[in-house]
Amino acid sequence: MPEVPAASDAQAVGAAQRGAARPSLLARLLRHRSGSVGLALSAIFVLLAVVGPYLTPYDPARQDYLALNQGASAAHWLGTDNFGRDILSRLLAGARYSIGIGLSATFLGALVGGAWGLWSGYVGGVLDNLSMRAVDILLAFPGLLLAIAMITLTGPGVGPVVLASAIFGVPIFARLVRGSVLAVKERAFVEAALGLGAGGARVMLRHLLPAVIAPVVVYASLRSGVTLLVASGLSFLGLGVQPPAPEWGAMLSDAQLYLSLHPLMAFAPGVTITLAVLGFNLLGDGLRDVLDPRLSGEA
Amino acid sequence: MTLFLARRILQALPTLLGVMVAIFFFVHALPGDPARLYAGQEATASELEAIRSRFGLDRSLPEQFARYVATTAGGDLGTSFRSNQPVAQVLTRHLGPTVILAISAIVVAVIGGMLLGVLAAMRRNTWADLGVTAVSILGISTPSFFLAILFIYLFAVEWRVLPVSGSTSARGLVLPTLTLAASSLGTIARFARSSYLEVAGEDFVRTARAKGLTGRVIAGKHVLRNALIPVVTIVGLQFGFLLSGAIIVETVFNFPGLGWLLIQSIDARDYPVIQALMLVFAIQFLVINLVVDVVYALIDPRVSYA
Repeated sequence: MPEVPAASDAQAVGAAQRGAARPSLLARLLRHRSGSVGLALSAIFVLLAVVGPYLTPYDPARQDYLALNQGASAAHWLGTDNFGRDILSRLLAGARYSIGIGLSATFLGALVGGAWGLWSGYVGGVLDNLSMRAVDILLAFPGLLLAIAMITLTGPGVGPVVLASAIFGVPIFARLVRGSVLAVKERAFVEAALGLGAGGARVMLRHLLPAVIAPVVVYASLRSGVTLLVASGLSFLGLGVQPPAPEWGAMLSDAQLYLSLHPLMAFAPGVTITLAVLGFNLLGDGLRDVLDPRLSGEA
Repeated sequence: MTLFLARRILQALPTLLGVMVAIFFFVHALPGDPARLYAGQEATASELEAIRSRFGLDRSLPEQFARYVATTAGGDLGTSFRSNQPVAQVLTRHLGPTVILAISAIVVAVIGGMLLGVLAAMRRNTWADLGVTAVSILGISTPSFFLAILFIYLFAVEWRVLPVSGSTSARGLVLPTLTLAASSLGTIARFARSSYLEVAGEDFVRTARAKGLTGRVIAGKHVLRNALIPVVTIVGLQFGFLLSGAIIVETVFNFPGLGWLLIQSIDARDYPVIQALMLVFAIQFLVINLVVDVVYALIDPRVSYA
């Protein structure tokens, strides 16, 4: 799966630190051609995750044996599946699973990895060295493999998928935040706080954290798309959210058997996942471009 | 150069040991009694005891770890619960298809990605550029499992020109290769484009132009060569991701590689095979990083071997 190269991470980080102070971030993002599309798409999908389950024209679990495998019609805009369930309703209800899992896993990975990097960069020395070797070890496993290993331990389900999709973001965020902390730690305001007798927790949370949070936010938006791919991939493999829950990856997996008979059943969730991932990717790229025009392909 | 190589290999060793510790604890955290899993439900208490002592499961954790490292280093990866064959033998059987798939996918991704990226950069801000950018971002954003299903529908169901695969024949390789290559192709195209544009803006290119060299010579000899350097890193990284991305692609296409084997082994709770596969994937990743570093040092004279 695609990974953002380290060099541009560092640039995005520096850019985020410079750019965060300016208030016009949203305005500049809206002027960015593909970034504004990404923002709109992401906003729609986040909104759907919140209100989607209330907008369903049918009960997403209701089976109608008189309307199996139907194509698109006025009654069923995206047709029905092999149990006669309304596909549009299932996609709307599934937004909470797919988008919810993708975003909470990204958030969890950023939170745990960020705390790890914050602590590691702050304590420094041997402990920092050891903890970064642990990061190296985690990074030696391909992300999807780490997620699958996690699921093997916990068994499938919503919680495990969140954990498994979060875990491979942890070492990346840890390394990112630690690098920023090392740069900030030597600045006068941190020394002043320490000199005034502030404790470790206070320095980390009140002084270091605000100084390093901006790049984490930018990078988290870049990661959301990848996390969504991994999470829905796990469900597609049968290791994640279990049917009959209308998770998009699981829906696509169910549709494989009916591909020649009823391709819409596969295309509907497939296109939906693609659009969501596309939205988050465009948003992340747009943010990076806006914060660092040097990297922009549209300048 | 030999010294540089030796040092890089030495640096990777502690990480490898750490990876083995991680895998060891992972296996110990797995649910279920391994002796019971190996012996089956009908085994008596004394049979279980015999199996525990045979596999050293009755020893202390450090002893078990030492044993794990020693046997693994000796090439003994244990016995598959499912097939009762040596794990090393099972892995060898499935390694070939994965390597063939990964190599053909990276070749498609590199050639396609470089061509598209350079085309977009040379025709900057035209429809061709926009088209390449759109294809790249779609390639990156489309889940491989959906792309696989789309290809199966088009080529195997609608047009009936290619098999759904499940085989390692040349025709069976086409769809898995294209699916696996898509995301890397997009990434490489984007990277080649920006790298080309960056180099084209540098002073020595202006100098070449001022000397009166033709656009073709400048593009080929000056820009392209220098633009290749960062692309090598990306290609290496992408190759690493291809090997794990193959987990999903191989499963969809029922293609008998290591990724397919992993999912089968998880379904069957074949822990020795899962354990060995994790090690193999991690080693592949470490080796690829090593090779990327070495190639980088070889093509970029600014990187010192020291």
